[in-house]
Amino acid sequence: MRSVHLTEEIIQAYALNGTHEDPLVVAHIHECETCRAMAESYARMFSALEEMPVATFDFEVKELVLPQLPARAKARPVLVPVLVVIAGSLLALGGAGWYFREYLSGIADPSVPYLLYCLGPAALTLLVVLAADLFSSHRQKMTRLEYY
Amino acid sequence: MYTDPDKLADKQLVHKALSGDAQAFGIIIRDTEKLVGQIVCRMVSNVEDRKDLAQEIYLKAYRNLAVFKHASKLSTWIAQISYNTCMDYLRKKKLLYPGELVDRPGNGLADDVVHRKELAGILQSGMDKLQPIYRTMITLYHQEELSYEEIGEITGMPPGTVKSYLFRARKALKEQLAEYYGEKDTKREEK
Repeated sequence: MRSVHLTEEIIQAYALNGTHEDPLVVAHIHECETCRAMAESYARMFSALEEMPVATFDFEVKELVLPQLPARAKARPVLVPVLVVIAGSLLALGGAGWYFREYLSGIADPSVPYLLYCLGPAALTLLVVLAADLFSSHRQKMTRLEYY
Repeated sequence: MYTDPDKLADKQLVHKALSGDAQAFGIIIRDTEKLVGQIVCRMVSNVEDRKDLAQEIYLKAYRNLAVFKHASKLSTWIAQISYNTCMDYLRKKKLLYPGELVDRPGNGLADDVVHRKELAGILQSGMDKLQPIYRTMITLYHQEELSYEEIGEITGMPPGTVKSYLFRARKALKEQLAEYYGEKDTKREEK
């Protein structure tokens, strides 16, 4: 056994973990009544600290804070209806162009039908973009639901 | 520790709050108010001031959400705001005694009172005598079970300093309790 006592720092570390990396410290605690008493005293205090009532606010923080929040510009999905209108118009134009292609080719420049054929894929691309956006928005809403 | 699911949830909440979703910020408040309460209530004794501080802390957090880089947990970041806000308050009110640990007058434990109180009450009285910083550190370590590193992030101190402050705070607290435990302040020759 060591003739001198352990430092209080070592005793605190022992009491915190219930053991110590240095076997000499563990052996000393087991043999020295004074150091063991201090370690037990610290251990009791740590245990009591853990059981102490949690300090909480005696008011509703959410109710206090949420009405005070400054307005933040909400990201509104303005683009979606605009895209829907554009896609719809393009589809209608494309459809009409396809339906009246014979008349149109007769009255207009020969390159016009080819131009009209381009409108279909363009509208299709827009629709794909729209669908992706809707899917993403749906996924975000579903994720948000997990919080409630 | 800061695990990936925590990070993901934090990121989603911050993103939603930044896009104006007040409900998301409400969830952030719900998730952090216990920790914020522990810090504010341990550091500030005036109940009315606690209310103002809680409001100030969360409004600061809301205003600065865009600069939160997710380098730490959201709760740690808000706890850091809480600690700094409380420190500013204590400095302004001149309630901070730099370099002083337990020397607050008028809060002594009278013998007769000591023997009548339960341990929790004694401990609470002992805690009340500690400096707010040490009280907060003890709370964060022993009640909130934060690591030295996390407490360091909140208080802006290196983990070694946190460890050293905690040692002194525990020692001071134990001395408050020594009489209750019936311990004699014997002279110990330490190695």
